[in-house]
Amino acid sequence: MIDRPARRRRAKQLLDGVTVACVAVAMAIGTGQLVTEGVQEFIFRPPGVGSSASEVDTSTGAAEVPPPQTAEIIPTPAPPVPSASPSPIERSRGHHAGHYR
Amino acid sequence: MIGNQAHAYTTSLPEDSAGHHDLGELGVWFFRALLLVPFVLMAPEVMSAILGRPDGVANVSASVADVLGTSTFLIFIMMLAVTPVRTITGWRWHLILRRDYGIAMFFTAATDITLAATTTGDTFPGGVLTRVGGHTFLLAGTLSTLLLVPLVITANRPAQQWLGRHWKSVQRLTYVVWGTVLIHLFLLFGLTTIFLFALAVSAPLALMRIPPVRRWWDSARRAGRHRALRAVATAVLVAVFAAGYVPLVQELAAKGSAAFAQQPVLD
Repeated sequence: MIDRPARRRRAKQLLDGVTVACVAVAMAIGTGQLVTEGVQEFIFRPPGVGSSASEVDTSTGAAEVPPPQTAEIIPTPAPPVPSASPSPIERSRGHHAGHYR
Repeated sequence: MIGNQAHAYTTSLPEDSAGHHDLGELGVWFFRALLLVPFVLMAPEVMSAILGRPDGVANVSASVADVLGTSTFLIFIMMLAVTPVRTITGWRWHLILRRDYGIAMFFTAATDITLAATTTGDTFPGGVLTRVGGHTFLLAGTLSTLLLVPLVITANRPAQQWLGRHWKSVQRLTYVVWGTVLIHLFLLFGLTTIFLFALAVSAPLALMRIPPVRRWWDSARRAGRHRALRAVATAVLVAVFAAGYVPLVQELAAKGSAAFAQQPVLD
């Protein structure tokens, strides 16, 4: 017959074993994913993945896409290429040039 | 689930009148009923998914973390609040809720992780293990849920007698879970929104667990001393707690009602 303190000590050891097993399972999953997915994928969370608070997150700005401004809706022209004679397209755009200054 | 072993799972009110006892029992059942809320909110989407309706699985995938994840944390906080409420007020009627909320937290977290593992393939491509441990924040959540296993196994009287004086040290694992849950939320949200709310609700609960603070409050309450100081401190603690708790409840209400209507918020 086992005395009470010894039985309780063994119960505690059993519970410690359960706890260690639970941590080991989590660590095994994590290590496996780290190896298969890579450090980048494991550590860095893509914007929007897993996080969906109702409030607008203003911490990084990476996760949110601000609404386009009017100026952004209008396509930004390509930087002018110096040429000796303007092409017909450039000539026809001439009177809108002020928008892009 | 942690608490004073001698009265961890008792609702006895030796000095209370029958009227107070009835009110206490009513309060206990009210707070127990609240534990059904997350399951009720998720039920329509889960039923749709089981019945194979279009968007059923996608809706569960969109709602599970918001509804069950937030619910798990709120239940955890309610469980942690039991002891400070006793320290501040001296009430005993609610002590049984510590066990009930601990067990409910485990089942809510387990349901969360099960649904996440089976339905979030659209967000986390890969196998089941990727969905429960493919990112650091997922792993922290999974570890928190697994650490609840020894706590829930021992959340009963036979286990209390079986472990004797060791029972309390096993239940101290709650504090480790507290840490891993906060890490999970930090990895998810960074120093914003829900993580800050989590810190706000945690701060008063942690403060009231500091042994000198707890002892001072207990002795002052028993002796009826420092009434004004205790009243002001209670007001401050409740205000800080509410600053974090109310937005979390609002979050659950918004996402939960959308999930119940099967129109999950996609953000």
